[in-house]
Amino acid sequence: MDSTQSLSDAEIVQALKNGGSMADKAILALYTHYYPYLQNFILNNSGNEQDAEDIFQETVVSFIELVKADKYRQEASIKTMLYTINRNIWYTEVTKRGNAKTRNKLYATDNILEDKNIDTYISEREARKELLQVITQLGSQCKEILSLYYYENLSMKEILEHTHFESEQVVRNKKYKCMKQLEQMIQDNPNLLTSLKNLLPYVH
Amino acid sequence: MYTNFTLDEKLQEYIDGGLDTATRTDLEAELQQSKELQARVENLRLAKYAIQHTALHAHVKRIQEQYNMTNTAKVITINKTKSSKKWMAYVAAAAVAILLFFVVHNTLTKSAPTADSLYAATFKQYTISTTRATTTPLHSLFVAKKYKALVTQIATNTSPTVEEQFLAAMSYYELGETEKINTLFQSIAAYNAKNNTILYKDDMEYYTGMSYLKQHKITEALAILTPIANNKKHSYSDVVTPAIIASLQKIK
Repeated sequence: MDSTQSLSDAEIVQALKNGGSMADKAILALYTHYYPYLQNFILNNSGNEQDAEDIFQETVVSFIELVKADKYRQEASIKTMLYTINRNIWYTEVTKRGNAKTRNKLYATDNILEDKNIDTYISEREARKELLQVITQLGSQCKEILSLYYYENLSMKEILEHTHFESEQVVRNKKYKCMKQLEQMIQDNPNLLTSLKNLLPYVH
Repeated sequence: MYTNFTLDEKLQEYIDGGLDTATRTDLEAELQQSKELQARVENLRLAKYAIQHTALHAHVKRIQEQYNMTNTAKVITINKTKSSKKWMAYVAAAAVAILLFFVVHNTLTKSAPTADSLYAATFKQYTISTTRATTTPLHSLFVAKKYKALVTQIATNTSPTVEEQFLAAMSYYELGETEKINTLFQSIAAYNAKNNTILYKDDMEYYTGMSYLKQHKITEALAILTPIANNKKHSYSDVVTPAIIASLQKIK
């Protein structure tokens, strides 16, 4: 935990872009430095501890995706970015819950950073949630191979070492089939597809 | 190399950046002419995004669990430190009184400790941190001691979190289903080994040792509880004391 104390904003951004074990440290640094502050924001605006935890998790995921898509150019500090994302996500959540009093209170609070990228990204929040549901329908073997390939950036040879397939070619064929299956699952959901298309600028 | 590709494979290689220059140029020319192909490429990019988003979500959740564990441990330590000076004198006085009581009691009764009496003296029921006790339905079920309902609910989850697995294990402990505790503890230990974490390490050691003691397996209990008594930093060294270990060795 101590090693996270000294990471600057620039180092955190670089670590998140690079991935690997440094990304772990950077994410932990985000929690260590900013979670207590943003937890208080949620608790002071009608949320409970579980809300604070869930909203901050979504905030961190959003921030990382904006960083990876080069939509965060460090004009504002990480603290300001996280505050803005956290506030805006909580605003959409209380609106969804029909809590007009808190929504009005939040509306009156200072939205420190006006950022079109954040607004567009958060506007498709429900589509991303639905996407998580779609993935649950994919088999565990497919999820594993595709995650190793597209998230961990492992080669077919490295994936072979992590799995029990016979050869790289078998892994490659399986990956093709899994992607085809996932493509079809998204294709079969026209409403989701329309919403997701707004997220294409954030796909890296 | 790419001439035998099916269209599906070629499109996937395209979004993965795996095509050679000539094949990519040909495909891009085709893409310009075909809206259908353009839509397929978009869909594949969204499928790739879906995977990356899901994996990132799981990654952040894992770090959050790690943060929560460390944070909870810190809160406990801070609370202990703050109150320790104030209570030091009372604890010392109480310890002397208890010691005197046991000396007198043992002298008068000459009764030998049993596995059951040592278990009762050493057992500390697992409690969820009060600040988080009511945050999820599973916490509420555990606090309400609805252990069967809790394990039933977790059983429906195909990929339970470490915390959920631990709560299930503690519920099985309360229900006396030892084998299931071991399976869940092994799963958490595997997670810790893979991710270089120490989630619930002290708790798992203590409750495994206590489980053996409960079953009167004294040798196995001693093997696990002795290191706890010898490690003052262990979360359960306040209940698993050298005196308890000495008594266990006597009845072995």
